[in-house]
Amino acid sequence: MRSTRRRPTARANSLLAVSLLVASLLTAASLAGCQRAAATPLFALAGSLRSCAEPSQPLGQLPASVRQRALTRAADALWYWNQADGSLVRSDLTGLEQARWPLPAGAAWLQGNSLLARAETFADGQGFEFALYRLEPATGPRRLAEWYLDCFPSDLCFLADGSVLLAGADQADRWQRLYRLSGDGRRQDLGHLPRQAGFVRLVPLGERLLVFESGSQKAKGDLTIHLLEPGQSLAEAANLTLALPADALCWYGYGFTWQADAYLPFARADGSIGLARWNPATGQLGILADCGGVYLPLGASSQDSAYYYLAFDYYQDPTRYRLARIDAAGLGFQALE
Amino acid sequence: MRKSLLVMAIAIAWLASCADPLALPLNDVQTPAGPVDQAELDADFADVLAALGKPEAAITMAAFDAKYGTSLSADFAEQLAQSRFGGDSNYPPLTTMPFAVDGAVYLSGGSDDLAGSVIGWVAPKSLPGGFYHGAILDQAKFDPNNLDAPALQSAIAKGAGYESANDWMAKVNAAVLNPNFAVNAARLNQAQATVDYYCALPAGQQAYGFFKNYVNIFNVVTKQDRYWWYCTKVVWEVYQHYGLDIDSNDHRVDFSSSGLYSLVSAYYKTLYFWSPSRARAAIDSYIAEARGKIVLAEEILLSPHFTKVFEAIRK
Repeated sequence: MRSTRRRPTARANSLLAVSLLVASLLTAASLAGCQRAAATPLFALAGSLRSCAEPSQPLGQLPASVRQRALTRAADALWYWNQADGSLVRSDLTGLEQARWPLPAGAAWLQGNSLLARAETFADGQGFEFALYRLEPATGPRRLAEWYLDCFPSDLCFLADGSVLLAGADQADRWQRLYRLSGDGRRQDLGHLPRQAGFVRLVPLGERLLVFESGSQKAKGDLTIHLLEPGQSLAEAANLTLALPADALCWYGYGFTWQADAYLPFARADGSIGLARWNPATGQLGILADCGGVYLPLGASSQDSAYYYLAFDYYQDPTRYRLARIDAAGLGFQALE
Repeated sequence: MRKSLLVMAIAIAWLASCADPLALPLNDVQTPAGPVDQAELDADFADVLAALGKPEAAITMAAFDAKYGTSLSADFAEQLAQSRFGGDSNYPPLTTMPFAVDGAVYLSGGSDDLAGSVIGWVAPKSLPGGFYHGAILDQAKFDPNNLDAPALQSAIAKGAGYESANDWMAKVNAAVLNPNFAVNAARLNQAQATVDYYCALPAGQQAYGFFKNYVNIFNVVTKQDRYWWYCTKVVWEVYQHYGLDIDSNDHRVDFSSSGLYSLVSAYYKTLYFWSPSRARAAIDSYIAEARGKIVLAEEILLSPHFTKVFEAIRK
């Protein structure tokens, strides 16, 4: 197990201090949305269940067909969806199965006590069937509503009210659409953007939402951020441009929020991936020079005031995943053997 | 007496003259049940076909073997074992598999990840890797920051489908073939979009199947059929729209190693138990016709239009 730590720049240090101050003034309740809270985040990697606690050791085994976004921790239980046999499993925190329910689908995303499933097949003029479930510890998945959407999901986000924001391109790669799906069956169309070469990402900021396009390559692309105020659609969103370094090429990876800051990864001309830390309240911007790629935001841990993500840079090294940790001291990495 | 002996001798001589020059071993032509009733044979055979890829395949094949003296259980021993033990492999992901070229062809084998599909049971596996499944990369849908994104066009047991990079890195055996010609990106995109239309057909206008009516081997789906689709046909279709025929029909693909051959052989040897030559002719005719009508993974593997840039054979 090797751990490396990258110190923030002097500018980033001052920005960090400001952002921590701002964060202390905000309540946790204002940070609803995708932020994962409290307990140490868990994640799946190559058939192992791992914890973000350092050093990250395998806690137990999971079927290799459990995808990383198809696993969630809810209190003292773990829920995961197994792609191979289309089943939903509730287990203990070592992966030991406690209960299992059939849930056939093509893909599933879990967070907290919510699950969104996408069907395997695509129906003409309608798209994939998506179904929203609530996970009941005793009885398993309870189907709340379903929709047909021409949407190849590129990001989604479960909100505190049980609804889910879903973004993705249509099959023809003409538009990237944003939806809000609610458990009572409502579907709110939040607009669309022309499909360029990337994939739409979502970063909730309390009641607001950041939308950006992550490139499919590290190439010159769109660095616009769309900021949606509550109730706004993409057409009404403010288009922002941050003062990124001159060698920034495009947004690249997944974003997340932590302590009132939005963290947005971008590709640089030298092939590395920087991480912009932007505070929308103050407008302050800091840059973490090389974040290793934000492949999967894992969440914050209240135990050590840190945020974790799975670092992965497909074009740099498609074999290497690392556990990245952001805290007051900066950004550090653990190799995952 | 002498007259009757003469008649008997003539009869023996006549029967001898009818002896089949291509006679198969005796145990290939006899059935424990004696002469077969074709309607009954067809019904029993339909049961076998309907069980392909399903848990009941073992018991159905065993019953057919017991009744007709065939060897389906032995011929399909590998598939039957995989069906019992499930498809989740313990092999590490193939993390170096490239996803870099639009239109690259992906082939897989050695596992039962398509246990529910017929093609995994019937395709020839005569070349290293035993490839039988195929897909084509739509680079525009490949997300390097989400390897679970559906990006490879294929056909799955339940109908039209896409698979992800992670799905492919989990294959037991896999190969990646890059076009060995300068790809016209616009033309390829157009071809992929055309096949997207197949993926978008409503229920009732398309179905997954290697044989029409799903498992009727006497209705092999032609490549030109617009209703029935299977994985390697999707790959072939994209390049057909592009302007290339990637079905090599290469004779190095040995159909006698295929499950299809075992099935056809069992059927015709039972039906024509009284004439090994007629059985042989029927089998050969069927396989020759099937070879031209269908496109299989090994036939694409040997296509001169591609260069193999990645291969992992772990089983």
